[in-house]
Amino acid sequence: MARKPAWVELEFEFRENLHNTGEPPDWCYKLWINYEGKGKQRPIVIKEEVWKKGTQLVARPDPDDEADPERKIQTHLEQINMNREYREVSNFFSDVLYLHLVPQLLKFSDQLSLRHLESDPFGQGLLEEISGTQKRSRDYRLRTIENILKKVIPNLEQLQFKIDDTTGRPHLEMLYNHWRPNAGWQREDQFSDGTLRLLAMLWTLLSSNRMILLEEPELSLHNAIVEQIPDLLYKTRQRKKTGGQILVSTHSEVMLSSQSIDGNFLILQPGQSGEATRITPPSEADIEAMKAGLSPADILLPQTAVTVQRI
Amino acid sequence: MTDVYCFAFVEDTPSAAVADKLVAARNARLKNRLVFQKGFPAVMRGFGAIKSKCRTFLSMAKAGSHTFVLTDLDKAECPCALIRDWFAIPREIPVDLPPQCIFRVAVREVESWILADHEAWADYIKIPGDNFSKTPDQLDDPKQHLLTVIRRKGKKKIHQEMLPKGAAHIGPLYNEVLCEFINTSWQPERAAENSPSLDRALKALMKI
Repeated sequence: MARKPAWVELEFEFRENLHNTGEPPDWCYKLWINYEGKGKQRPIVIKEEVWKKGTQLVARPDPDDEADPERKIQTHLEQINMNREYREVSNFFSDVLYLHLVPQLLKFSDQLSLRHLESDPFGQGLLEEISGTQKRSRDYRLRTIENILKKVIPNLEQLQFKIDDTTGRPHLEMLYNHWRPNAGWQREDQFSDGTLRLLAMLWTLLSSNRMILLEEPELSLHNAIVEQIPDLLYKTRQRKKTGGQILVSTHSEVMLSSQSIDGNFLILQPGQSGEATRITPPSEADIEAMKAGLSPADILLPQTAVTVQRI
Repeated sequence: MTDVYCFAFVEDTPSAAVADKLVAARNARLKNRLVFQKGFPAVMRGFGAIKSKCRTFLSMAKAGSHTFVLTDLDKAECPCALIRDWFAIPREIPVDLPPQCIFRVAVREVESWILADHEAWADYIKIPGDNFSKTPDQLDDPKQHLLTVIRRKGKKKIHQEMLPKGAAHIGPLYNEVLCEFINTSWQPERAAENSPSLDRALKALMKI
């Protein structure tokens, strides 16, 4: 029996006005990727298309690709000298911000002395970023964050940014209620994992207009806080007039039980018996059930557990 | 007649296994199928979450969507009283759920439906049938009855691992053993002979 061909299809539609679905999108970018099938098995482009308001600008593979197959290991999109006509699309992708702060990389950065990854997905550069922000903006954001953290961290009195006198390195410090004055200051290497992740998430939401990808924001946080994340995402974003969308990946039943989520859902279902992973929006039945009052946790989460068996 | 799709909510994993078996028994006899949505029944870890959704089930029924619930009667007086309580039906109005709300109550716990398949259960758990009640719907606490028999008569390691230790209500393998029995041996039509509440549940499913 022939194996079903397996490749990845990515398709993006961009609209200034999300509700204008009657017209062709402002931009459409399609990219199909597969492995070479021989030799080094590198990922290659098997289809790449760019459309601007219904007009096609790029259609690959083109005759040049067939003549020189090496070209297929690069997208048209990533080449500055090729993508001028649709630079907007290329800029959008470079501007997407992915956040998944790994607390240990920050807390033990000296001992680990790792290089920072490009685009800083794991939050290694958080302190440098805070340090590089204009003082007025920084103070405003940290005050907002302090007010939020005081509500969820017991005995927290103050959050401050400080440059170390000796080393010149930036630090965050929190002051806790302690019977000895000034005895309760802690530096970021002593913050809990949850505190650091929450702090980084809040800083990012307050400081960035970009599209943000939040990876499992519930990690290391108490359910009583996780439950409030959807509202937090809304409230902090309200402060910025034109914020990009926020995409959140989660397993959290508590977060998905929130009644106030007004967003779109995508369900990731691993395939069974060799089938591909499916990414689907909620079905008509799902939407009806959620309209009636069942939460995304009730209706969508069970669909992601289909492949999980009793251990 | 077309297939009927529905969301389903149950208290625990044995109830989920029972629900699947009930639906399979029903579908074997009728032309149209009752089908649980993918990933369902959802195990709600107790009755609280189910109770809180009853009003929503009524809204869904109004919109034509079917929901299936299997819950334990526990200490409530009777299934009618439980339904009246959970759906906040005033005393003057008779208890009459819309047909799209398939709400079944095991009297008094799903364990009685399991015990009702008397010979098969005794055979599976390797404890003589005389020790188990033949009228499980009448037991005040079917789970305790089951655990007591296992505690007194169970000689194997698996029996020990079903029994709770300390503050736990059930042993670490309790649910697993029940599910295994339900999936491999339990037959709802056979069990219905010894459990009026199971019999009613099966008959109700046939009407959909």
